Amino acid sequence: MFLQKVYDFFVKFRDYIIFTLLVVMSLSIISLGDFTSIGGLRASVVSVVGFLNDKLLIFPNITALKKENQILRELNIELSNEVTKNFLAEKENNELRKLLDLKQKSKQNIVFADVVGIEKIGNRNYLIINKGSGQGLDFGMTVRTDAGLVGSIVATSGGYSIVETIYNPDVKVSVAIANSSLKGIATWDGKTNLILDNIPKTIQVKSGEQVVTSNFSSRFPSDIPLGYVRSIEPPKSSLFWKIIIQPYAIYNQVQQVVVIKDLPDSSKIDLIKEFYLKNKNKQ
Amino acid sequence: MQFLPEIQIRNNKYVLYSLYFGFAILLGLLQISLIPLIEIADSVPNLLLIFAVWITLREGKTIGFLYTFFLGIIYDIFTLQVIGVSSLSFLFGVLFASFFYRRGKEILVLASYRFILIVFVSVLISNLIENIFYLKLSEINFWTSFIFKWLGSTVYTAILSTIPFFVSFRNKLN
Repeated sequence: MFLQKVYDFFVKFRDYIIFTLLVVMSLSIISLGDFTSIGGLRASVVSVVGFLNDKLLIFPNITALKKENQILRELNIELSNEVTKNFLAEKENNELRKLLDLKQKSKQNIVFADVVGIEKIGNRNYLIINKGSGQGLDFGMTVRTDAGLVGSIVATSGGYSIVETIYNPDVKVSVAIANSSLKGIATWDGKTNLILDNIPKTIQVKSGEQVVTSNFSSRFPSDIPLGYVRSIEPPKSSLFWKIIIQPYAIYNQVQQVVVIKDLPDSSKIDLIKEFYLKNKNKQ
Repeated sequence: MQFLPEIQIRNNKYVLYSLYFGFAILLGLLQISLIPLIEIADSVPNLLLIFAVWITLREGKTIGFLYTFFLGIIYDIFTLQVIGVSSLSFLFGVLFASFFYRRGKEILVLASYRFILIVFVSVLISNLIENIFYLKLSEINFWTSFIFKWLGSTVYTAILSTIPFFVSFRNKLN
């Protein structure tokens, strides 16, 4: 009798029992986190995505190209002014280095790549580039343009990589205001800018100042231009500034990027972990 | 009126479900290759969710839920998201659509303007859940993200759902 009732109940609410089971399965899969077993499948997906984007994007995005050209022209003028200054500065610098017997810093190991696709998944933005593990690219490598930071690589296959841009809600960039000791964490505002908050009002910040990645970052190399301070908002009921940063690299106008093959210094991260572990053990 | 090959396929459930499976993979590939090319103001439609709603209204709740779960997994794998999030959000979206399933009158629902409205609300529910999930640890305002990133996608998906609606409408006339 009881079994009959259970059976009837199952038959009557079969659809909703299946629905509930599937919801539980989804939640279980989410809580289990990353599936290493599907890593190979995802690498294949990256290859397919990259290939399809590469072959389908035979028609260039004219609007994006125009915008990029305009930005590059402006940048070119600025750079030509800078070149003269830098030439003199480098000359002077070399002479001083020789005097101090310092080794010249080695050039960063870089790879140029074309953007073959843009993926927008909800409020997260990714780029697909036509260089992958075949060219020595790996998870975590920093991606930038001549203008500034774009993001970092999150997946690679033989010939393609997926770049997680700074236009993602879960990406936090450790930044510094150039020519100042001010450091903080910049996060995307969900539109086109980045926000740097928790900066005390006692510190002076000016609009137009350049923002670069800081040496505190364990994810990105230091001194990569990120953007400039567009505006500073003093919240009425807070002791902190809210600084709006206009990024230099606009992800959906980028056609070519540079991948910095040097990964962030893992020894620094290991040291921090070791330090915390020791302190924890003492307690 | 149904064409003879269609009737034959419909009678053989294995072939039918295999076709759905193949079509889901194809839509997944289109979602990551072709769809980004037709984005409007940062908004892209969700083909897999349209298909999930369509299957639910065509084949019923049980098959609909099972395929929706599968389509969500495909979407997460293809878009490199956290596996399971889209399954969860798609399921709740499709749950709404399942209330409109009418056995024996499937084509009437699929070929009516209600189908577009059902897709719109289903995508809205699904996007709300994904928005909540992805903004859990972020500092972005919920409504900013929803209005700028998800609402456009919801409207765009509903507009694109006019294609299966017109196909069903034509079949209904035939």
